[in-house]
Amino acid sequence: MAFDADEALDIFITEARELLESFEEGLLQLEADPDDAETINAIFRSAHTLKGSSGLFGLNHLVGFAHVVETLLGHVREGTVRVTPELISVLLPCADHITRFVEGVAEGRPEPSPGEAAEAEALLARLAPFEPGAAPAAAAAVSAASDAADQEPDGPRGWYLRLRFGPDCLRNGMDPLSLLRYLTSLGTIDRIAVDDSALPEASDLDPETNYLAFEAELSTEAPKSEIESVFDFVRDDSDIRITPLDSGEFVGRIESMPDRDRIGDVLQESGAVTPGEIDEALRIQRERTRDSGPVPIGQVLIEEGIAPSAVVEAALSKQRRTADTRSGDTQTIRIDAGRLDRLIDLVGELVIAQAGISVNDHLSEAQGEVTRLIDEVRHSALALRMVPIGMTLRRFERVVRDVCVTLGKEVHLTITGGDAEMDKALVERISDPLLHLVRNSLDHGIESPSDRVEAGKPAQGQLRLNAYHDAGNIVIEVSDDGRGLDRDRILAKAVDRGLVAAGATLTDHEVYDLIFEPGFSTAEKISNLSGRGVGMDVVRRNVAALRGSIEVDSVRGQGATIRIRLPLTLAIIDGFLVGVGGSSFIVPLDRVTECVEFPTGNRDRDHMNLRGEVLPFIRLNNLFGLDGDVARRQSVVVVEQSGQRTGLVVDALLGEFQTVIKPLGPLFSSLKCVSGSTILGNGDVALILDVGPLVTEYADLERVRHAGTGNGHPSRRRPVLAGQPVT
Amino acid sequence: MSQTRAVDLDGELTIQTAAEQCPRLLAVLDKNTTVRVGLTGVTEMDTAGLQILLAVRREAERLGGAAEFLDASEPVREALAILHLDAGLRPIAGGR
Repeated sequence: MAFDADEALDIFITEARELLESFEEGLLQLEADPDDAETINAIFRSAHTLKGSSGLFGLNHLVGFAHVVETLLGHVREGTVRVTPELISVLLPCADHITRFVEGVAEGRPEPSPGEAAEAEALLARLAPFEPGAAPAAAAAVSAASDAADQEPDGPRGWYLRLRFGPDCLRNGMDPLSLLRYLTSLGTIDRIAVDDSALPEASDLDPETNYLAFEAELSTEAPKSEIESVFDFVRDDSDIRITPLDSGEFVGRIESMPDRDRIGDVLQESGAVTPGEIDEALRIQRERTRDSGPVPIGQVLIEEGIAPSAVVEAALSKQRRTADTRSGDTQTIRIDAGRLDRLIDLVGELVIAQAGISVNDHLSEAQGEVTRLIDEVRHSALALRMVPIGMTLRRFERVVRDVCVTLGKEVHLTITGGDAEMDKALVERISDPLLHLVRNSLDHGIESPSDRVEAGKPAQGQLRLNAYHDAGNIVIEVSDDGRGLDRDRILAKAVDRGLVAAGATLTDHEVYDLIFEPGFSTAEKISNLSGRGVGMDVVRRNVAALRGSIEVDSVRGQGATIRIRLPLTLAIIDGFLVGVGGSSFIVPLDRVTECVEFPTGNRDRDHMNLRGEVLPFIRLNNLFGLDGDVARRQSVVVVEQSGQRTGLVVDALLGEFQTVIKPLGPLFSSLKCVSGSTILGNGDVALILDVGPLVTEYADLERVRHAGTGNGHPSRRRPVLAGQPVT
Repeated sequence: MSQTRAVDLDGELTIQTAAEQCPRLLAVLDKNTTVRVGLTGVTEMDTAGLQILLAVRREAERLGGAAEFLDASEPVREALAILHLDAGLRPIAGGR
């Protein structure tokens, strides 16, 4: 399975930091207001999520510790344990402990240090008195986990020595044989071979010149530097290579090392390479770089036989990982989204100011250039917020695997559309609901292998995560080929709970929507995966908070698809400026499919013929109650929403317009058909139409109108907008 | 074809003596001749000495003969042991 553990771990650490922050914040808030149920819920969920995700990474210490905290908070939530300042003052150091441990994990230390283990035990002991029933088992688990971290002692180690002595070493009084003899005092030469291949023919032989080379395997407890020092005096004109026989040990050592920037430092510290060797490798690198262009030091080390490739690889990946961690600190900055918004806002002002100039001035070449630059600045400012969703989706590979192990199911996960980009804040906030949906699909959707075979399906279930852009929205689908939703049971349960009147007829979609009601679960047994009351209602609430929607498609016995639709929430959109009466409106350009002339002789109808199809339209001047003369030649802007096309009747088409969304004040927060406003180049205000609600609301009104007297008056359509039009 | 000659080496077989020992030994070699080199009198041997012996053997073989090393003295044995070579300068099992 293609799973980048490092990447996922980084996400976990970022997330854990955030969770801990909110956990701590919640505790402090709770101290001020001990009965705040929402805060209790929030910190409980933080602990719950933390425990869950640390389990994914096998951080047993954290799981054990967070479990105790979570259980205690569970009691607090149920009201069996009261929030007291004492409790808070124990929980706060617990948060600190988890934070320290998470930072340790970030530095590549997945097990607690003995100090941390002791601290954990002390904290758990302090927590114990608050428990309604003692639960010291977890504490024991924690201390047991910490014992495994001990270092194993250094034993003898095998080294491969390649010794090519210089031709003059004999003349210089250096006898290789005596060096080898000395080597036997350091350890045992397990194998040795004399290489006499360089020996010339007798006629050319100079008996005082050394032609011999040796290869040996030495096992010794001495560090590499000591072996190396044996050859100190011949080093200058000889080629001495000492490499570990078993690179695994060094690889392991490198992996457990704290982060280092330089590969040389990593190798040196591991003991696989000595400082002298690094210097030599650097020298060779310089030479080769001069002769034939840049060569990576790792390549030199391997080719020169200074270090085995496995060890160099390990060191390289360590270095890379260090760089990644570093980049988390310096190369990328986590910016307060508010500041980013401010920047985008400013760029927006710039766009507006620039639009003003182009209205007043003649277009010069420089002006065109400025326009281009501003456009680029705008794009890059927006791009700051956009990240591909793939990273979040890939995280679920591990989730699926682990959940499958837990549940004894076989599921194959397919991820498509990971390239689709969306606002970073959205990505972060959608990942929890998604996690829940994935778990839900695995837990309740996909059947056990035996049930599947019985139902005539392959034993391995399919789970699909798909993301794509659709008309200014991003859509994320979680689909499985499991048992699907049980319409009857959902309905029965809803009737049971008084959500639906008995005997009511509901469409499939209305029935499926019921699963998002608070406390609604048709699962007969609550598994440890879901459960704990963090349910589908939370998913829907989270999605709704992002101005998104969620819908379910299901075919009984064949699977279910849950579709989350979210706005991209761009602060600047490409808009289409239209004039209605004396006012201007912006229609998001990505919703506009075409513009057609309003058919004459059609003034009273609400639909027209568009290439043989019925196109219903909305008269904006009626909708917004705009008085003033209707233009002689009106136009129809055709917009599309969820595959449904609707026309908007306007007086003038004013062209494309880069639109900076200015949020409407809180006073107008209940307006549904207007998503914001913008300032035009001439200083006028234009409202930005929110096409989705506009179309559906209007359709609803039409239904009401037709269901009623059947002779609707234009004024009846006005309640859509409660308030005076802003101009 | 199977001519045999014997030669005994005495004293040091080291870098100090290599310049004179080597030509002397090589001079003994001849086509299709097995040369028996007695090492019993060798008091010291270093890499230069070893190199000479290896060169002699190779040259002898090139000439279609052979070189045999006999009665290695203690210093020679000690040197050969370090290199995992037997008394005939052949690798002991496990080497090349």
